[in-house]
Amino acid sequence: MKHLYIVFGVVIFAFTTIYFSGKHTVVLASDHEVVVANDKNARHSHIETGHNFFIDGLHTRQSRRAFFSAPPVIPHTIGKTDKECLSCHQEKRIFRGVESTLTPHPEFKNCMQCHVKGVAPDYIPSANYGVNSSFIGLDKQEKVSRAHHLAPPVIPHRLFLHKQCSSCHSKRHDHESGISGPHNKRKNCMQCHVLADIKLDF
Amino acid sequence: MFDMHRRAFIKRTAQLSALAAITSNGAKNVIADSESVTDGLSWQKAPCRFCGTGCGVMVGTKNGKVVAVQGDKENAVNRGLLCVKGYHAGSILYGNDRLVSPQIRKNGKLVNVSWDEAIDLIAKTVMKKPDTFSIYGSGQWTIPEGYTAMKFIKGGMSNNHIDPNARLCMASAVVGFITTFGVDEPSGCYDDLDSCDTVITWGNNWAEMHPILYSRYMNRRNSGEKITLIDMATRRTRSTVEADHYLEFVPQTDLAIANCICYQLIANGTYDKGFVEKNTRFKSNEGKDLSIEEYLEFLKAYTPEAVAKYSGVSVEQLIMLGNLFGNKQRKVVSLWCMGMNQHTRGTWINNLVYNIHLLAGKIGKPGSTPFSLTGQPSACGTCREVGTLAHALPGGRVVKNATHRKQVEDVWNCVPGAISAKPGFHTVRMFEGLASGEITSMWVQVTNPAHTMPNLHKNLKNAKERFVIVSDVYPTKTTEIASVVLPSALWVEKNGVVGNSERRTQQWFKMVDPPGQARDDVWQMLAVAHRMFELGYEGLKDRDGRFLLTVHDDNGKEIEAWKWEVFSNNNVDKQLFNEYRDLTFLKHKDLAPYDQYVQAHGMRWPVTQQGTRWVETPRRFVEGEDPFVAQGKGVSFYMAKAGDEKALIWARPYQAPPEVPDKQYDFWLCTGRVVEHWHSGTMTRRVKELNRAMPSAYIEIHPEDAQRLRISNGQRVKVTSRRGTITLPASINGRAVPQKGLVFVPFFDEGKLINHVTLDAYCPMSKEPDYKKCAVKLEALI
Repeated sequence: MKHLYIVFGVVIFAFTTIYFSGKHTVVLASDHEVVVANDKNARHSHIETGHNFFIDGLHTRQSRRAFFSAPPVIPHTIGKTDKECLSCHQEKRIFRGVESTLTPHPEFKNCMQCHVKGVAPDYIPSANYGVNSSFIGLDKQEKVSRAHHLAPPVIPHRLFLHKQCSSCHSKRHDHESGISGPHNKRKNCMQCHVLADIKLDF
Repeated sequence: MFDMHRRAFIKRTAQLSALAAITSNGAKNVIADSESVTDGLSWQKAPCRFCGTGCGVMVGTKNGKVVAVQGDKENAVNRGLLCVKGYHAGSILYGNDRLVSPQIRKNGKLVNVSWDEAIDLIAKTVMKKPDTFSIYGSGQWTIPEGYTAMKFIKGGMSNNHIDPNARLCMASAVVGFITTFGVDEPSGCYDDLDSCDTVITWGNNWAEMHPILYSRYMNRRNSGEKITLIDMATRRTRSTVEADHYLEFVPQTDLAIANCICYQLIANGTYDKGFVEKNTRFKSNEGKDLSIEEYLEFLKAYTPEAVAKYSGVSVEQLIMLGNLFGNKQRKVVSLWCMGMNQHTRGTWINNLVYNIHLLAGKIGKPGSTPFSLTGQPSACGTCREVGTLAHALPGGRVVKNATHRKQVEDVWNCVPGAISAKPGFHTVRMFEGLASGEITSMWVQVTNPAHTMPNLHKNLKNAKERFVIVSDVYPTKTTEIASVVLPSALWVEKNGVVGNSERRTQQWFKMVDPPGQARDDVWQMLAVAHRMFELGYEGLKDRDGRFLLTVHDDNGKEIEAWKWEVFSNNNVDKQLFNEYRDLTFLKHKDLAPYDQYVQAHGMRWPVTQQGTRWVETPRRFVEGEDPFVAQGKGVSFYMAKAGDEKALIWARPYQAPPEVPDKQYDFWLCTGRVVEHWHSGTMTRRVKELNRAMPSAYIEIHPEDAQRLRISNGQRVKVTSRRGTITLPASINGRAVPQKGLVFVPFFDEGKLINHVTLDAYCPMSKEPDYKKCAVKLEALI
């Protein structure tokens, strides 16, 4: 009997995730504004794949940030406390075959100070809560430069809060591959990559 | 596979570079010197637009638009970190419904008009009845904005009807400081959070409301330090999660709990005898001198056993608090904000917490201080220091004092006697006056009273029939009642100077142009004042018959600042700030010249010149830190009213609140904020990331109460008081859980105005209303 319940639970869970992962799409609007549609109930909806997952990855990244280097919104259901965030984002966990994103700033633990959910809390009735804004956030691409086509690219962002390069620059899972490097096993990143501009380190 | 990625990447980069090249041709000049410019992207410092913490941000602008915001590592407040509102502060400028044209209400509808027409109408209408004109301002006014408004109405119109929304926010803290220490504003600073071992919060959810300070303290635990957090509150919040002790008290009994700690310190003999004898005196509630024995006699009603009976806090917890403050080794910071200030006995509870710290000798030492937090970016800098209050004048002066009036008249070059000795209306009184017709016109700047006043049905009654001028950046509840709407420049669209909770003054330069015809609030007031001067209004002439609000350029030459082209090409802020600075020395709130703040990432006053350097003061009243404390004094409360350098310990009793739950209205209602939104949401609700995460107000209900009333999570609930009713979705076991018998509603949502329900009873000393306590009933809707 007990086993039956477990099997039943797993089947329901699988159906739910398949159903909602299908509904979760990333739409690129004409004004560079990327919106995440229909992800109200998506659990770990960041685990999606696309035909060209390189560009999709960048779009997904962008869709979760107001601008390059803004704190990303939380794309999945969450618990009530920061401890629950850190149980996956501080130490590597594998969920549905995909590694969790490790925080690039483990020294800070009040996660929800900077990161808010990408959807409303469950007790607020769903409605169109759209915001009409013409804000266009900084796009990261413009500052990726290198001395010549074989030279290591410079770092286009500040290092504060971004000291653990591998948090973002790894082939951890497909959609983030847009910013992963060709040599993820090397760890001493700043041996070859330097800040684009010392003034970035404000 | 990898090759394909690489090609796509290069292609996309090329496309974007081309785009950048096109748009950068049309780039506008950024007015200020840039600290860093790369690829057309410029970064400059500014203080965050939102709360009173006063974090430093770096604003990234490109092609005349704000495109990114990062924390300023050089700023000692936040050291590079921000909260979610701060990161998204750039988006607040770009809501599609920004007000971009002056508007006048004609036949019930707001119609776009020219600036000249709007200014002419305002000047002529105000001039007709100058004595019943009022200004309702804000703790978000910059220092030059508040100073201009003050000079215009108090100096130019001999009218003291000016009060800020800080009355709803900080007034109890102000009166608390003045009654205890003789002078306003905290003596401690944020550095104390780095060296204390215990923080006790009094009704303050700082993990959401002052998250930078919360993280600053709690990160010490993350790095292995042993620190204690005690959360005294009426509901479990994010600030409770990491707390070592959670003390849940019945609303209003904070008065009794504070007295209970004082009782234990004296009865147990654990108070700091040397400190108390040297630095304090005892006063009865009526102001008579008391001996320590008489004071102890008063405190005998507040034994732990007696207080436990009605406070909800156990005897053990109360003794724990008594022992904590009695322990000479402990370094304790008390923190509070609206929980103590928005209180019908707000002044008393502020006094009481000072009593505890004075008795325990936990003040004026690194890591030990009572610290009153502020909610607005310049509640301190503008409302409290410039003094944009009905009874005040700049630099801690008051209108009742003839010497103070003369000092200000001399700096302003007013006709002698121009400033009236009669205090104007405080906020609630001002709105009662607006309802009754005692106030016929009102200019509202940088605030939204039709959303944030308590008991809105009563306080905004008839407002539509009066002449209300509203300067704002978006349509709000208040523009709905306005006769004239003026579009304002916002944050980095103008120059500014503000002052935060820890006496830190911060300056920024304009970085982008305001949209459409939006213009600075300072300019708006200068333009109206000048129009009145042109029309022959006597009060706006100075002693020499010139325009009272004349502004000069750097070389001392008069400029026609009331003309927008002239104003926008000059740094009028600098002139106004340096003029105001002359008025800051009386109460030792000394500020440095404007240019010093351009260099610094904020400086805490008093700032004094020592040799060629301008030196800030981390802790006031402390020898070696505060230049006004003489050598050998240790701690000196040198602004004490009696001139004896002693702070006053007041015997303030417990007093029940004016409205308590009864059979008919059986719940307490408490209101407040959430991390995503700031105040009435005018700005944060235009930010996609913030509004999406919290798009609607809700009502928090204790799970057992919800079960009893058969209310489920998300169900619609009607909340009703004797004053009004609204309907909200229920949150049960959401991000916070109130005590049994109490409900909580955030006030940011203009679609669900909880202020139709709140009570407008206020502290009789500070006149600050209590938004935290009134009686309501609930009804579950299907």
